[in-house]
Amino acid sequence: MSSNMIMLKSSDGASFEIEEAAARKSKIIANMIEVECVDEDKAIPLQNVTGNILALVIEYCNKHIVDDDDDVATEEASEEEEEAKKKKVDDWEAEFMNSMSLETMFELLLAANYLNIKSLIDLVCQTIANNIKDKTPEEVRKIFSIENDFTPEEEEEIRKENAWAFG
Amino acid sequence: MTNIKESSPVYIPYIPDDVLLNCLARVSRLYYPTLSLVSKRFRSLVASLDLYDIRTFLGRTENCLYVCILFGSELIPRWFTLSRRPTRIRKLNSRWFGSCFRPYRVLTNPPTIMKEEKKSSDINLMVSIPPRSLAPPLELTRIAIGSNIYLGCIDNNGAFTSRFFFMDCRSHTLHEVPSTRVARKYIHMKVLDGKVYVVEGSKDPDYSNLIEFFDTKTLIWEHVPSPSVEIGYVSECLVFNRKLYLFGDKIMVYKPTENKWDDVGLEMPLHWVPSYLCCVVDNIIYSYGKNGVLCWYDSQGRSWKLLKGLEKLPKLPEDYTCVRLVEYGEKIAVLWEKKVCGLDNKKIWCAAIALEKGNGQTIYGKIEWCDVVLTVPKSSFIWEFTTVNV
Repeated sequence: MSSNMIMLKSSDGASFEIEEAAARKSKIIANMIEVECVDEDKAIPLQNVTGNILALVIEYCNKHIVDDDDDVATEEASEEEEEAKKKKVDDWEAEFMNSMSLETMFELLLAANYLNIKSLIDLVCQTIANNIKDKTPEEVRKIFSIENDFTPEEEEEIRKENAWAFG
Repeated sequence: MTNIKESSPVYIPYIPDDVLLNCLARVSRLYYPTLSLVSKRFRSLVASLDLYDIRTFLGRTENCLYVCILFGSELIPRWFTLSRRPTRIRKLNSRWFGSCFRPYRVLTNPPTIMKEEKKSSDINLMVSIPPRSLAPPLELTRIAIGSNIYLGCIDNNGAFTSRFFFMDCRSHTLHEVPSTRVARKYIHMKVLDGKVYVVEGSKDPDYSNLIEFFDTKTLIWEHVPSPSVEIGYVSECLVFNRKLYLFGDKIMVYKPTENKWDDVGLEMPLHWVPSYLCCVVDNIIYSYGKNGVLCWYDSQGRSWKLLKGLEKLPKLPEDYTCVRLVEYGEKIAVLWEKKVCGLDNKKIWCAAIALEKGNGQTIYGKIEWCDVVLTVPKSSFIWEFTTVNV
């Protein structure tokens, strides 16, 4: 595996060095590398991602590029080893998501979406899904910071439609 | 970083529809009725077919229970689907303000991550599907394949018509499919290999046109040759082990792969069980039995055996017309009505029961939940109880 390093530059001007293999987790960056023959001295500008979020993205990519390498190296790993490894990744991901505020989580989701990193999109979406699944409408509004735009009449109408119980 | 952000007003960026749909698709459909109350945008996304396409793409489709109830004075039955209501919602007033004053858990504590936490106190309830989205002729027999419930219909004289419909349970819209080749007086419907089998169930059948099936992929009805032996009035049908069993004066079995009829071997109990009281899970027949117990058929021992471990299940009514049993994923779901003394209403109960094979010839049921899911007028009637996959 080559350990070419490339530079990424956030919207607020912070530069990050990252292994090419890790950066390729992002389909957008992978495309840039292939199509535009990225100059080693020049940083790839990522206009929609701020430095603090990009740092998280890179942390995620670095962690997972190691895991992907392991996959190749340990094809004959036993089921138990596989399971232990999966648990380790799950634990890391849980801790990773746990460490950030909700606001950061949404920013990270948008960044992952922009950079097209499928596994990170999946991770954040799943975390958000776990968080909203058993919440009241009011709590979900707070999570997404959105207003209740139903009129009382409309809300009453929907509640009637849903009719939790008859009579 | 985290601490500073939390103390300042939170700015949550706008999440585009496709990303929000990706989140919603991972939430159990049981919570969709609640999520549709969040905002107009949520309501429209939760109702969109795109959401269900993503659920399919992510492999997140779920088994969902539907119950169809005919209310005493009404001509058209109403459909309900199971939902789960967060317990914090209380019907104290017409709005949802009850939860406003609670601490904002997600922001003050780090969210619980990647854990399938289930609060056992959440309440399971049947909620009605959007009204008037259905304007069917009177439907009488229904059966589910995937996300669709197929409906056979009767005309004003009470005879079955050849018209056929299905309700798409993602959008709850009704669609007509080609008519059956033959109109029948009464039908049984069964699903086998993704096809809807329609079997004449009247007492004086046209014997040459006993059965046809509808291929839901090609949208074509095809004739099934009748058994060469007269089996008389078909009182019940069952699909088991990818074969269609007809219960009449004799029991015959049809193997679609061989297009062939056979006498029935030892695999089938000989006594008659109405379809709505039995279901097949993992190739074992489960049934509601006498005295309100649940049992399974031991085809080796040729006997019905008690499903053990259900001591905590409320007593099922002895009147079998008040009970329904369906396959619910790898589980069984039981629905039953219970009258309440002195009230004009009756309660509809539902329980989800997981199944575990014990040593030897024992199967244990484990009650996953058991709730009153609906309260209906005494004069109403459970028309249908079924599982769809959406």
